Amino acid sequence: MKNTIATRRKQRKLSQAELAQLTAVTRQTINAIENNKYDPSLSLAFKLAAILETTVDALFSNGEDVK
Amino acid sequence: MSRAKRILRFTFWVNNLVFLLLAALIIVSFSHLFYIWAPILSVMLVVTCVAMLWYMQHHLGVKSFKGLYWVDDERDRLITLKVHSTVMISATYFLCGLLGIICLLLNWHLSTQELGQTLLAIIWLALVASNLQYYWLWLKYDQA
Repeated sequence: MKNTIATRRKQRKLSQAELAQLTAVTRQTINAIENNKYDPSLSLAFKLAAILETTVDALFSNGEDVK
Repeated sequence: MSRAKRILRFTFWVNNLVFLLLAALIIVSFSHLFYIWAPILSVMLVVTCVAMLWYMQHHLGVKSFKGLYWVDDERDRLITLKVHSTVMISATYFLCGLLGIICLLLNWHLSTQELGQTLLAIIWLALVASNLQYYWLWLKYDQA
């Protein structure tokens, strides 16, 4: 599943480690999500959306290009 | 390297050490030096296990050894469940194969000692292979 987490994270000047700490997961998990190697659970997706101040719909897509 | 991976790698190598000690114990059990070496090797096994637990508590941040103690988040849990599922299937196939091997061995009219040695060697090999398989699968699923 494609996502815009990396872009939004950089806009907020957060490192992967900082985002991982805020969402109570490991940095490797954030890295795997950003590189489309792991699809997060619903609760993690909502946490990410809340911290990045957006919605889950805007953060993730099914494979279509995210604008 | 994540904490889970550090714990896994450490456990992998300690398991290899334990298997070496077990192999030595199996070998001396069939020699006349058994009563000299068996206590020494047994103490070494116990010390290794205690040292492993101590190191994990003091240097790898393990507070409790209940459940999936090396898992830090949902992704680690998913990898663990995938690995456990594969290893359990392999163990089931191994047990089926072992049944067949025992049937063969019983027909070869081996002495009790020879049968015992053969079965010990097979089970030891299965333990080593299982340890390798667990480590290899974890690394594979962690990359995926």
